[in-house]
Amino acid sequence: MSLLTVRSLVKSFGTNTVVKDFNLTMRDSEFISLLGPSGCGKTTVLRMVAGFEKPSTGAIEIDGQNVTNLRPNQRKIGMMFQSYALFPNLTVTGNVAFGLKVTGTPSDEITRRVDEMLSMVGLSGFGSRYPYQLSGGQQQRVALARAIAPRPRVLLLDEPLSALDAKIRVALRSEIRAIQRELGITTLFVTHDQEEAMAMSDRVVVMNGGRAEQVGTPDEIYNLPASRFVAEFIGALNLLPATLRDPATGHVETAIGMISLGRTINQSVGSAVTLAFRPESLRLMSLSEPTLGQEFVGRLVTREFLGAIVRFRAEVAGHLTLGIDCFNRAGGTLPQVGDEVRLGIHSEEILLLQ
Amino acid sequence: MRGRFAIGPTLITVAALLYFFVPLYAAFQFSLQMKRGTLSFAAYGSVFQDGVFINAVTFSIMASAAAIILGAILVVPTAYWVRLRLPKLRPLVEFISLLPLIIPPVVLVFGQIRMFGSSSYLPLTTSDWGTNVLLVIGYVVLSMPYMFRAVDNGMAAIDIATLTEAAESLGASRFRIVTTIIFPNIRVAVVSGAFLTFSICLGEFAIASLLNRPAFGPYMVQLGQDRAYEPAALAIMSFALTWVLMALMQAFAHMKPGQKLFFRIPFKKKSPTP
Repeated sequence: MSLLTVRSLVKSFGTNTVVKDFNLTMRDSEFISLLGPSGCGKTTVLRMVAGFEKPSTGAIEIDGQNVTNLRPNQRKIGMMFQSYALFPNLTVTGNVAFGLKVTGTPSDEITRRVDEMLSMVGLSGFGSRYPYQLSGGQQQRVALARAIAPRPRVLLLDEPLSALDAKIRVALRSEIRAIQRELGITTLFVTHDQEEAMAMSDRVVVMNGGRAEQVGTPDEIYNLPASRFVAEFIGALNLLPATLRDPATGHVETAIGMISLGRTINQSVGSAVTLAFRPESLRLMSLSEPTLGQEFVGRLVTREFLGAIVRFRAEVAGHLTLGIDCFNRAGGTLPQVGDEVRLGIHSEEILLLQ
Repeated sequence: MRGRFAIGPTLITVAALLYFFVPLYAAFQFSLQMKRGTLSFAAYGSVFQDGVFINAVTFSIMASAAAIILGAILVVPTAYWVRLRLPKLRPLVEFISLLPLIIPPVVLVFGQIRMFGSSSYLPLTTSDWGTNVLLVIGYVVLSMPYMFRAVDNGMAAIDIATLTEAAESLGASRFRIVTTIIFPNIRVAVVSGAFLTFSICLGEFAIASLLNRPAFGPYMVQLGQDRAYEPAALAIMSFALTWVLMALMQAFAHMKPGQKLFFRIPFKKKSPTP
């Protein structure tokens, strides 16, 4: 069953169209992220679902009900904001109870529900505090409790973690996800942080220029990017210009020699293509290791130690540099800058971009 | 440099303090000299024994309270709406709110008398009640620059747009948002606007006098013509009242939500019911 359906959504401000023909169907209990660079229209889509912006054309349905023309306070949604947006004049309890009071919930039921929500976000005993007496992370937890207390049909999260410290951000994102799973609440999450989107979501919508470039699970988005934009936006990528020599066998000619992709490519001989592969797909190989399909020689020019990962850049064919990510394994010896190295890659890990 | 005596600034400060306090002290001393040869508060006693004084003060307090309430009801939603939905109109609204500083109250009250005089369609001046309404409306106009500025600054300090959206997403109506979220959060600003309104209304002469209302302003002027020592006593009391109001304004301005102004009533556990 689809809980939230967004159909052919378009939004223009004057002559500037920020959302162009956006479609999305969310299943019940699904967690979907809208991911994209700033100005890609992700926040505008969320604000239209919330009812803060009116679509120029298109329709939004929640639970089978067309809500396109409903005001925000009639949509039964919950929302979290980047700036927390707690009511400064109300205590934590008052904030969480706000939505329940609006619906005229009996006061003993409100008390019970507020206690339940506060213990869920780990803030039992904070009920009588005011927002200014809480840290950013605590305030955002209260905001989460406030948003879910009236049992909204859809939870909308507008970059709720962006204002927090890195550590709290990571802790809170897994908590939000755990609570979302426990309550089975359909959630639409806007972020510009790809790690956040991939760690939290069932599916990710990568947006660019007001359109959805690709909708898929985090691993689909990462491993099988549907467009050049998605490939370049998500993760790091090595790009290698090439010329197609044999479409049937997938042989291409590059500056570092002939590479066989081992698959048929539906393009004519001689067409220019771009090979793309992730830094972690490239392997630094010892002399004794058997070859991995594709292999070339390079010279290491930089080395960045990042803890779990060591990131190298290697110069190949005299002028191209490729990024290589290696795990930092205890006991293993990693090469140094200046070393000549064997680089290997499986041909199925090479993407072909148009 | 620290430790060096800065002669210029000190002189200027001393001169400014003298400029302000010498006349005030002179008035104060004069107000104590009602009884020949001794200093006493006789002038103050005489003022308080005057039934007209009590009536004038009571009338002015009531009129300014009405002006404060009416002003807040007009200004808060207007400033809210302008900030939220019509930000382009803000310079215009600000300009209009400043007009009372440019146009003399005499012009305002003549306008009122012409518009609502005995030969008009709405002859408010023909009854005491109607004239009081005109007076309160006049006070609201006079205090508009201060009230609007105070409220508008109060709104600038909180994120009106996001708080409104948060409340809307929780199902709240506009009316509920203004009364339970916006107003309590700018209460401090409204209170300081109210104190300013109060001090303006209390001393206001032109409108009250021309509408022939028994307010404090005309009473002071009349007293100034009739008596010697009592007006000085009144002036000192007005100053004291203004200072008390300013102190209250400061205290309110630095208050955090949930803080009581003077003391806290200890309580065990407040149940979170509404």
